[in-house]
Amino acid sequence: MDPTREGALVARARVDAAAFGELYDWYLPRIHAYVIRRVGDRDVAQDVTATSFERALEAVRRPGFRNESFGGFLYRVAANAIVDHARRSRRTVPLGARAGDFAGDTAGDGDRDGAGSGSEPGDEFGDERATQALAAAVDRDTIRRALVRLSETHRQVIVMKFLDGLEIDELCAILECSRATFAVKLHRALAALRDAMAQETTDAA
Amino acid sequence: MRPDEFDDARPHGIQGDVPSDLPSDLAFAELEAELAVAGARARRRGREAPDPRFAVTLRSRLMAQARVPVPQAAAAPRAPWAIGTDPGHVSHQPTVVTPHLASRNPTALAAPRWPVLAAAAALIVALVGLNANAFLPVPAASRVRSAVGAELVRDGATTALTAGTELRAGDEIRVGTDGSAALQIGDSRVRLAGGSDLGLRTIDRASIELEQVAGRAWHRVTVPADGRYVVTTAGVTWTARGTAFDLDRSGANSPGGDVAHEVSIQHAVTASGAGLLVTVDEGHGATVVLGERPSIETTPVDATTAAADPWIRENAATDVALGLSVGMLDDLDLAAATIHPTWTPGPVPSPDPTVANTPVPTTATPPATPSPTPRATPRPTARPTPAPTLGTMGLTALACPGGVTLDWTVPDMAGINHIQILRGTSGEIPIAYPPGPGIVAIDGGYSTDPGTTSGYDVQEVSGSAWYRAVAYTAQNKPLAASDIRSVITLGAASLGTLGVSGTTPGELAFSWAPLGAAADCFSYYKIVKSADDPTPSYLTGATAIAVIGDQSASGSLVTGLPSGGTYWFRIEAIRATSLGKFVVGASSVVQATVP
Repeated sequence: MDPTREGALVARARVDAAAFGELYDWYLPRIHAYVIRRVGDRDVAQDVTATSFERALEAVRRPGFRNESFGGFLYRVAANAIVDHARRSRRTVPLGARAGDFAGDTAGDGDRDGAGSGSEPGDEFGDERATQALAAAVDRDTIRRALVRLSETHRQVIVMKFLDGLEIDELCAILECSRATFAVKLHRALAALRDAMAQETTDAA
Repeated sequence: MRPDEFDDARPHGIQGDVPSDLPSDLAFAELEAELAVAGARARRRGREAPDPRFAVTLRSRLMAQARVPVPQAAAAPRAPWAIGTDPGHVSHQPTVVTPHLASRNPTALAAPRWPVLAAAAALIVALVGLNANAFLPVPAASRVRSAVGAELVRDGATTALTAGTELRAGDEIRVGTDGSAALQIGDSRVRLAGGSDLGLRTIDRASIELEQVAGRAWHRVTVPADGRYVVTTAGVTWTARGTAFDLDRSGANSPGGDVAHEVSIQHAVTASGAGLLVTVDEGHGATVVLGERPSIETTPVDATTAAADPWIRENAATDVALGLSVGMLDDLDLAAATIHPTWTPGPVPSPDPTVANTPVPTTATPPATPSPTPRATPRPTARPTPAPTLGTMGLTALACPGGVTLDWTVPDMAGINHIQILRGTSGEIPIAYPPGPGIVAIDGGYSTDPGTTSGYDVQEVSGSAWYRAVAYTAQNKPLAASDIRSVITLGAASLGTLGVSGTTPGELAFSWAPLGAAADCFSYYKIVKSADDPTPSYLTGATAIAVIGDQSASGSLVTGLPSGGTYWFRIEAIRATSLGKFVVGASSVVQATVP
């Protein structure tokens, strides 16, 4: 969505239901797709998607809501909602999340709307299912095998960039980093992928 | 990731924790392209679209929550002197007032504040009660451009619809079976076919809401970034922005039920209703059976098939003649189309035709009782032509890479024949025509159509330029002029090196650096190809193989290309105006063979 228009809609959404409705119409298919790639199950995806939009509506109606990248904010809310759902259900397999995602889960859900969380998003939700979907669509076996060898941090960057097709502002909002830092993260992820490909080639030989 | 953020690296554009061993960006280009193709493929494979019933149910729930007024007590703590004992008062206080006043001396403001606010509230209530629309100006351009065999229903009264009539919210336009009408609503246009019935529910800058009760209409939508354009057909709402679409409700009374057909000519249109939320992409059509539970079917529409429909072909040809893109039909030759004469832009009709018919008291008047008095005592104040008062025009000039976009307003004055934008090299631009030395009458700023209010001037190099809009009579006598606007022009932007890759037969993935200019400088990207021109351009007739409306897009997968063909490819960012297009940015040209 055009950032100017999005900003105007978010500003109006606090008092104008129709403005939020337009944001919903634009982002629903994107958020739903983002969620279902990670949870697989359609019913769970609907629950998580609904939770995400309810949290988003609650947030935009708060005074002082920061309106920099609503899309990024929404994806981050969805990412957190995925983890929250997993924590509640204690089911790891449908989420494709790693056991490590739930380590140290003692603080409760708290305010997970995306602002103020100091932990790395990579620690908060898994993306193995999404990675597998991306890998399955890659032509070269070398890349396919290398993708699943990557660390979660690198994998997450590549999946969100190339499978989810997120805009850079959205990526930066999810990863809580600047554009410049994201550029470095992507460089490192691609470099790691290239190294993993080289390793795959060596192993095959 | 925008390629330019890599291309400029070892990234001097990246600050902070930049590792010293960043690899070359080129080394990743192929890898990135492969991943982009794979991502697109994976998205196509997935069943990712939300269930329509879920979408509508959730939307309804959210809308209900969103309509609950935002609680104010927590947001704005009351000042000690505020009237706080009655919650009814609190709900009417603007939240910004209390903190603003909190920094002031309460004893000085407490007494006058409430009477003023009460008066303001009373005024607002009065305005609302008396129909605020009557006090808010309808956009000047909201009027009838042409009408044949059509009626205007306003305030319960029906009159013949005539060109030049100003339109306002609440109006209803009914077109006879053999009639037609063309409306200008803000910057948008609606052309109505015979048998159509259109209600104008809301007309303001931020929102245009129409109800298409019957018949067929061509909607050419141009709304500002924060605006919306909505057409309702029974329980289904069609929402668009910056697009063209054809909506046909001629089947309203057909035996099969109330049916509406839509074709998205340029960009997408969203249809929503009970249990329905579907985006109809450019080049697709939708058939909706209206009712309490509307159903929809969308299908791709071939450009040739669409253009075979005379209504679509003629409207598209009209838009092309106005310099507008027609998306899916851009590559067709519509020149041979017959354009209905009522759609041809014409001069503003005289606002008061009786003026022209008023007999001039000349010798033709029966001189039965000639009186010498009038000649003996002529009134000197009445006869001499008063010094013409120059009307006021608005003009904005926005410097975009590669050109300047110009938007103007036309005063409602009789006698205006054409608008001409003049470009000068200093802050002095005389309005006389022909222009003097150093003043240029720009091609992209000339129009005889009063409904055309935007144009452009191509400026390929950086520098300063001054502009002025002038309205002239047919004899080039200036009737109105704008203030002079200056801009610092910009050279065309680079979209970087066009990345091209692909292994699937007939498919190529393209990547580029997104245009970094203001959103108002961008209309769409076009990827063009040519087999023999090493410098293909959309504006010089190269074949467009893709159009991308998202300015932030940095890649696109193009399918259906002829396998084995070798072409020169380039992507261009285009800014389209009412009077034409110009290239805002372009990538390098790359030669590639389609796998």
